[in-house]
Amino acid sequence: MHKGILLTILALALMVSCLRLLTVSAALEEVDVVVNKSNDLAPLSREEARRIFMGDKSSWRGGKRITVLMLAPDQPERVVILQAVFKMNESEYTKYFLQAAFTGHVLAAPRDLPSAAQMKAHLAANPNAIGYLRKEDVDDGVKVVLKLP
Amino acid sequence: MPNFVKDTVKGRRFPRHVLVYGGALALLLALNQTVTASAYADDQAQADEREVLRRMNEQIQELQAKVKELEARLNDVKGGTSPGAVESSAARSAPGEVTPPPTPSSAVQESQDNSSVPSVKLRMFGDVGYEVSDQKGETNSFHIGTLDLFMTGVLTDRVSVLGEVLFTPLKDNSIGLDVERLLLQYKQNDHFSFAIGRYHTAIGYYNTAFHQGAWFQTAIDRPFMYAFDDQGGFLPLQEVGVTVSGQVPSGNLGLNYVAEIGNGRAHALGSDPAQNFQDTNNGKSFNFAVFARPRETPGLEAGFSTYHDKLTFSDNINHGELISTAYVVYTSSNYEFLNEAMLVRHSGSITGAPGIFHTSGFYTQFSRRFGKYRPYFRYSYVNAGVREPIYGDPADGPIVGRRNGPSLGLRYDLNDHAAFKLQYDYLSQRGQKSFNALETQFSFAF
Repeated sequence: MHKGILLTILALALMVSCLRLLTVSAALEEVDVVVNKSNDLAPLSREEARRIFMGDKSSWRGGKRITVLMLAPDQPERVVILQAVFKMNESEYTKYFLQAAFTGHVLAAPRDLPSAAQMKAHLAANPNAIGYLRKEDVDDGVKVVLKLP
Repeated sequence: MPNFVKDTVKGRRFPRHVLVYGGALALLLALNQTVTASAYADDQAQADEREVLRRMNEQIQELQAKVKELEARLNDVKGGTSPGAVESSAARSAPGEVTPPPTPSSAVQESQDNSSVPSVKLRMFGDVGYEVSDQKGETNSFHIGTLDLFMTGVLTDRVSVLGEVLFTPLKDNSIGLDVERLLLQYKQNDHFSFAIGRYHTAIGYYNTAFHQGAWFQTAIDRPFMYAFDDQGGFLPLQEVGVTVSGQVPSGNLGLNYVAEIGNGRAHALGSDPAQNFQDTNNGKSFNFAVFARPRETPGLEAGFSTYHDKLTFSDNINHGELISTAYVVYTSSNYEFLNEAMLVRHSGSITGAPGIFHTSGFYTQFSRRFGKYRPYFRYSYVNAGVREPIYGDPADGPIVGRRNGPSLGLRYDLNDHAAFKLQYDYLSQRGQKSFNALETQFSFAF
């Protein structure tokens, strides 16, 4: 009887926690990782996206160098990418690319763009670029390779 | 057996623990409601904000249309055009807007403009501090650390340059200038990268993970075995030569390789350890390293390296040198656990008679981040024999001997670019009195 009540309460507490998590997730923006429309890249897994964004994979299959584009700090899409792809916060991201440049692991940190409009323009103009947009900002000019979160 | 208390709620009896658990549940639900309500409030605020932005954007679009119209009229009058005006206004527009983006052609033009002139990125690293010690002959002193100017430049899609210049305070209070790294790099793809110049040797993990900037490393200084030559270091941590590196197709194992050929290190007293311009012999040093970064466990890295060189001194006695290292490290945003070991093998005695001499060393370092604080602990050990022909002969450089001891410290990150560290060291050395030291350091990177 005693154990039963305890288990019931624990189960309820777990449900409450799950509900809370769901609420927080819902507050995050829906963001798509996108590339130039001419890119024949197959849909990416999160791990593959992580390797590209972090500079572990720096060239496409044909040998062309990948240009990674990021939106400037404090934008909601960037928060989603940092959490879901980099698994870092802004400070850790800054330190990671400082150190990666210092060790020669990457030639340069991803390029920061001021707005989604700029992101779309660069993605449309550069066949080797990869970036991200809010779901509602995605149009026919780009190709979606991963949906987040 | 639990004690039951008589209680009547609408004529029914409830055990005390049921009431306690029920209360706790109610509290949890209430908290959840609060969180949910807060989230709704945030959502509402965001929706309002978006609405304001949308309205502002409409106004911007109207203004842009008017500007375009005025520009067109002006151009008609002057007979010229001014495309930059509209573009610059679009570039300044607020994030998240639906303003028509700059045309792809203008973006391409911008990209071409950027690529036509190689740009240089300059970073600076440095540190200052204060140290007290009960070591005989040492005084309590403020000191400046190394000022590190780090430059990178991308020449083409595959070619880049990396340069690092140091201004280092010396024991005689003068400042020494040192070209720490100068590398011309060519990267074919992720599997093959080639570089020539002066670089940090891929011996073990620490040497290429942290380089010179004190801000990057958790502790104030480097482990004994990875100390730089101006701090009593004895390994060939800097080389002039060529280095080839890349990833090995190995699936989730994440294998990487590094192969290096260089001049090796000079050990004679009064010489610069890195042989920047002329090698003391025709034999070259070889270093080969392999390490794995399993994709299933981000942050884990394990590897080994083997380095070989032939050392020649003014007495024309040659010594073979073989340095082997192995390591397992795990780093994440919260945890850092570094473990490395080395074994140096020198052949040939001081007199040139046959002989084999081994020097061993290791360190282990653990740290855990708590917000902006990161306490850490490290234990370092190096042991070179007294008859060691290189590390035990005063004519061939500083005596390495046996050094071991713990370091205990706390790092506090002031912000994303500056840190304060406090460290206590206890050092035991063969033939010398053990001593304690307390050191502080402000390190920065920008």
